[in-house]
Amino acid sequence: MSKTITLAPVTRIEGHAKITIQLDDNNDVIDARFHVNEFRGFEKFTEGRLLWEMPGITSRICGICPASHLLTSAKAGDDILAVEIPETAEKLRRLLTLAQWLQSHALSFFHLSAPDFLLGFDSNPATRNVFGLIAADKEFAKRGIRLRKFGQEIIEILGSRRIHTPWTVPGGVREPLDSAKKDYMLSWIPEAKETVGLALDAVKKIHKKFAKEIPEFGNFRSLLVGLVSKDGGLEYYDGTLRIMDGNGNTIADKLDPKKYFEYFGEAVEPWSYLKFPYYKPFDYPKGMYRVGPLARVNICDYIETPLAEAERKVFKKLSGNIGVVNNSFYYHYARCIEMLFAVEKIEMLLNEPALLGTNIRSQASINRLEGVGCTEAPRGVLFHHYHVNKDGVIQKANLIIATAQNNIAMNRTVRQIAAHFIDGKKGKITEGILNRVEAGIRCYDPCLSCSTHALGQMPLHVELVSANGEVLDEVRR
Amino acid sequence: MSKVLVIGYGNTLRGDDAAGVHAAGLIAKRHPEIICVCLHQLVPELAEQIAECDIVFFIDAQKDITQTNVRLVAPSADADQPRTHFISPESLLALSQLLYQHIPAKAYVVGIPASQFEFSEELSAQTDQAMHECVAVVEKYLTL
Repeated sequence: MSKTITLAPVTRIEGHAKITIQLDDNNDVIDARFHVNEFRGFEKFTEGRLLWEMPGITSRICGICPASHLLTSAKAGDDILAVEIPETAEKLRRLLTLAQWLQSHALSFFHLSAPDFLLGFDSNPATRNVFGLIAADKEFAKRGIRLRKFGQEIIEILGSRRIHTPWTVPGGVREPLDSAKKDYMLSWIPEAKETVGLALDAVKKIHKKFAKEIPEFGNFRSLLVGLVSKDGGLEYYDGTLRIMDGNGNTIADKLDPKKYFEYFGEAVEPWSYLKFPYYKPFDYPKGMYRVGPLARVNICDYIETPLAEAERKVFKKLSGNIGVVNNSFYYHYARCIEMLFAVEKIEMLLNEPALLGTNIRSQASINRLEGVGCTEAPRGVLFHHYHVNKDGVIQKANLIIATAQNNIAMNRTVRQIAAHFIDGKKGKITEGILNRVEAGIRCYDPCLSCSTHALGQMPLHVELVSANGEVLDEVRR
Repeated sequence: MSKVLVIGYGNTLRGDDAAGVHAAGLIAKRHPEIICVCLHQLVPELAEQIAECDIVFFIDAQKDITQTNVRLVAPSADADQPRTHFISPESLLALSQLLYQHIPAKAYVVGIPASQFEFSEELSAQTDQAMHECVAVVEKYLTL
């Protein structure tokens, strides 16, 4: 008789999810799936609202990465207004993007994943959390909280509220930055650099500690997708799309993000609310691609800040001869490199005189009836696509979230880890093995609060299957 | 004078879920001397701010109650906490204690009766009334 092992919810990721591992009669894994159960219908909710409200509304989708929605929504608004925003506004928006990366990455690394790494997958599950981490290394845990706080403080200073701030608007931003606040942000830089350095030291030790396990942690070839700057550098706010294959070949470059729907399709599966985006030319599911830190650090030709660029070169050496790092475990390393980049680049931006300019918003009315915004959210590329009427009232909205774009790869990762670590001969599923499966998901740092959508088209499929595969009962809604 | 922190949290796009946020906003208007924080969800860095206070109120929407519910809470490092999305007041207090060696003398969780969690930026009539009652309850506890 086949058995199904279910872990629900996946702990220490935002939102709710479930992983199902299906075993055969020999207790060998025959399938494993990452189900997303939480359902959000924000796209439908936004219909009938004004374009100018959209940044404020969409930023309330998620409590972890509100600034990413805020910025991407404002960029979609820029497109509909058909304006070029002032230089100061763009620099301030870039600063906000980096602050969002920093606080989100700090949370992911120090508090969600570090307990697994520093305490070990087989350690007591009751203490394999941030409190266990504090007991093992209090200063490390405390620094992680302060690094996240630094990112949050920038967001708060720029927008006067830590979350859901409507500071970024179509055409620019609402308020300029003053010199005193800039100096305060700069005062954080030395500590932030030091803390990121500790994270990088820790991640390199982790690579040695888990050398035997890493090859099975989502190690497969897939496409990698992200934004790059005009000359191929790491990009976070603007730029064009680049697609690299699992052999390190750039198969598409300088793609206009506003035409994302020409490159990417969205498949659905009856067992998950989360869609499965894929690269259209390769079809589903062969068009599997990964986004986020692993993709970004892989696809760029360089990073513009010196310390992060030095780390990128070390990172690339992990790829061996093929020039691309295909193992999802290295999301953590890439995340730390991006934290370093964020701190360095924040310092650079804060020292630019143009940041304190007062020309911060381009004024215009509705000049287009459709617009797309695209930025790199902490977890990967994020698209907001709006259709409006001549008065700027939203007729239709489509949000393509980073976590969804990693969906096929997350499922592949779960299957790989489960198949390798579950030994059918022993017939036992240990806590350590189950935690490895969860840790595989945590590589992607999924945020499920905002990644599920499609009100009115929500597939709900409950299936009861016997040992021989017979469907005993089935419910659809 | 005691340093008081009020943390109201919830999703302001999900109807009654925002009751805590609205209550904290009202308290901020009525009591400028109180530090009020309105959030989508509890987050770990609040631990530092909590450690600097004498009294803290965590105000949230709560299902399955009919009246504003107040309970004293103590630090607790639950096995799976914090989960980031659902970090609990007890876990935050534990973080304050472990990282900053101080917790408020009194920590209250205040639950506001809530029943409508569909997409809406409005509280239901019942929860709106309960939210105002909650503000009065918090004010009463401040005098204890």
